[in-house]
Amino acid sequence: MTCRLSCLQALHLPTFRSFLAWLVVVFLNGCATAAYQATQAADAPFLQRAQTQQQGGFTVHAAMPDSSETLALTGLDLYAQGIQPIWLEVKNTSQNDARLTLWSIDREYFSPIEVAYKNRKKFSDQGYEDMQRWFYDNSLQRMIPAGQTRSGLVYTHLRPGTKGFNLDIFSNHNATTFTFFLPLPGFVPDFSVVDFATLYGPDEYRELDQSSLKTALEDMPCCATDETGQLDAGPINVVFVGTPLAVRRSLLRGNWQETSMENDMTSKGRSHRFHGRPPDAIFFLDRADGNERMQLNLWMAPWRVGRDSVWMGQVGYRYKDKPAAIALHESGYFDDSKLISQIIKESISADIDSAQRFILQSFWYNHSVLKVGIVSGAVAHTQDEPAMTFDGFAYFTDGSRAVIFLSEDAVALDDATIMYRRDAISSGGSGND
Amino acid sequence: MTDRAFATLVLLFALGAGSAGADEAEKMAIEAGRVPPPNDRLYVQTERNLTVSTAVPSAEETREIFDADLYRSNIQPVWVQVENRGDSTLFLTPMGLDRAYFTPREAVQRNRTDAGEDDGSRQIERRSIVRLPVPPHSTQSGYVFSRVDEGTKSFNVDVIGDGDPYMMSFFVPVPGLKLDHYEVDIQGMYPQSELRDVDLAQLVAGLESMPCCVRDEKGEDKGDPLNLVFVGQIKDVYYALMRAGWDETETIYGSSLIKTAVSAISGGRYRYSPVSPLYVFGRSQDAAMQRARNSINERNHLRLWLTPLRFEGEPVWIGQISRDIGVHFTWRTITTHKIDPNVDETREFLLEDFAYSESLEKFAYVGGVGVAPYEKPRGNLTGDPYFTDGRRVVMWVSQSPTSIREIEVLDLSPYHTGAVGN
Repeated sequence: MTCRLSCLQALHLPTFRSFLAWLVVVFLNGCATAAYQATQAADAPFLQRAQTQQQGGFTVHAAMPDSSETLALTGLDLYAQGIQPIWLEVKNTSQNDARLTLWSIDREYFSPIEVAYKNRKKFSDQGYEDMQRWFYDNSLQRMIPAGQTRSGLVYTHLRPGTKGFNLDIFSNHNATTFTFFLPLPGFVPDFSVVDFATLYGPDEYRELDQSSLKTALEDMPCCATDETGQLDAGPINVVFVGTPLAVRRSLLRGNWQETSMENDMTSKGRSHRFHGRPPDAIFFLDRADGNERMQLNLWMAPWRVGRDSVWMGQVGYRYKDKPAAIALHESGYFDDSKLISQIIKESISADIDSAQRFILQSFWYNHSVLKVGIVSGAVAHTQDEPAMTFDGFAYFTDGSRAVIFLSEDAVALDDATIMYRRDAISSGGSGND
Repeated sequence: MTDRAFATLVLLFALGAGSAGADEAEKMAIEAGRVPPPNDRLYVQTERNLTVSTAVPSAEETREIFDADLYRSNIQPVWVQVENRGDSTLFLTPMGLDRAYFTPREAVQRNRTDAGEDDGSRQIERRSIVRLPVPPHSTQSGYVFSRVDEGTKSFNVDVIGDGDPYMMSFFVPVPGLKLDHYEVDIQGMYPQSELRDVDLAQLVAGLESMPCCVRDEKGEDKGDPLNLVFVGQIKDVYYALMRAGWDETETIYGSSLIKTAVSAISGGRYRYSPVSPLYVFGRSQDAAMQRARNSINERNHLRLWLTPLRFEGEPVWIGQISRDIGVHFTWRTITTHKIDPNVDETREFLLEDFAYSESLEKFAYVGGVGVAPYEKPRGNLTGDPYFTDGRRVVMWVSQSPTSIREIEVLDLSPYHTGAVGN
């Protein structure tokens, strides 16, 4: 308001009229005058998609607005700022006062007034006050007294695709954990269009146990192939054993992103074949402070261990944005062996064993591993004589496969066990040279 | 290679027995999975069948060893040696050291210019730990590439394989940063006659009668509320915070001021921006820490003061926490932070951060701050408004890892006095 007054006064000064007129334009542009408009969270249409879970004396409803629903709700394009609101309602039917933790949903969550403050510039003083009040009033309270219900919004970091998160609720010497997967409207994860039930005929399945799994893996071909089934598409270097839910939860706990069939970045991966078909699912994990991206191509195998499925995986490094030299190399327009050897010498994608070690540790630290072991079965290639995939990636490896039994529920770090110990001593995860 | 042969090689190397000979000795050692330590500041821990030694090279030492300025790319090598005296293979997990550790090639990619065209990349790769398994009765050593921590490098070394995992915490000072933490003489802060051993009721009364808020240097103007209390040894408080991702802070000096201002303008992530002094008991904070988030404009600040109270032999600390949500400029310190006016929100965040670092044994609430409703906020020293329910959270620091389902929620309301500190 002060600004607008000074701008108007400036108009009446007799000299430097044109300069001042320019100043007025600048000031008026800089003067935010908008009022704040939001809607009542309780009436928002996206709440109709709410998922409900009950556990340990609590009922939790969770829903997530998409980008346009967020704009309609808050009056702000929060998705463009990397902020994704989640709406939660928690009913405490237990005998004890309880508190939920925002940390469990996103340890780097944005506080409600922080979100308002980030958007202050476009609003008048009154507009900002109204906005701050709205964010405060519609935030989720942590304390839920016995017999009561609390609801509100939590501001998390934007995640492409399905929103997976935990919610811990605790009281004196007690805690309950919920896990939600909220779909984002318009996003179809690649695995959701695969009909897993009809991938193999009933006669094709092999029933294995921990020991025969090892033998089967050692006898299996080293690698995925191209469409013809003839050319090398790189080794199968990780093997997961678990239910589809266990695999999905484990990857979400480790912050892996689901992808859709339409994602351009996965087109090369989708040209890889195992049992004659492209990957059933491709996941990404991006490095926050760099250009690196890990990619996991995953196929369900016709093998079962108890009630668990066996999943064949290729894990390796890629780039979010490709460096020019790499793009040139991948374009296939030249075949300069000296340059290629230089690229391999420093290429992160060539070092597939480091990717394998990373994913193994990531699952373990994210409380997903029941058992882990290292087996052989892929073919070793040295740094000096690397192999080359049909789609242009050089790689070297010790030829090992990491076998990881994954759990639906969180497993404490000290409850994971090691399998195939003898082989781990001789070959497991050995060095680069 | 036997330990003795290895020691001879290292000795030869250390004595600089001719540069060619030294190179050869070092090369042989490295090929045997034994990379020599960067300096003699070794930190060693032994448990059951395992001995872990660690050392952290400074920026300068790192340049000498790798012929590349890794620190500049936010990469800090940590030397780790694992001696497995047992009969089972053990597995070292670099991720325990830093969840976002760099693979050797990621380190190389960030130092292309320095690594040059020839063997620069293999310099880094050869000296890194790439083997997870450590066979029985063997020793392996090498570097793990972590993100830079100036001041004290805090990290865990986790080793799994025979029964319970080995989980060791190391706190290794690295030369180059002046820190509040080391300047405070905790033992001599209060004369013996001023220390008071208190029971629960006296603890509540004592805490509620303490000042509501921090003050400026002259002790005139009131600032942010003192809304948290720790009961425990400072090393446990400090280490738990570091495990949760908090960093030590620098006191305000010229060079860090400039770094802070540049970081504020560019939105960059300068993790060690200094804090300005605030006053309680007539002195500035005894310890200050911060937890960087996405940029310097978004971080949490924590300041602590030792009180003269002792509960069951443990020291009692009072403190203040705020969440920065933006920056504005001042003449005195170039920049200052806009804090989240909902200071209670920030207080509860700290409690959660502490709980998930498995360091919270029990907690409770006392008064002492005085209620300031949303509609009638108070102002801090930089004129930012804040509102609060007027409570302080009291956190007992656990000696051993305590999961969230083991935390005791204590009700101290029978002891509340209703007092509000001055």
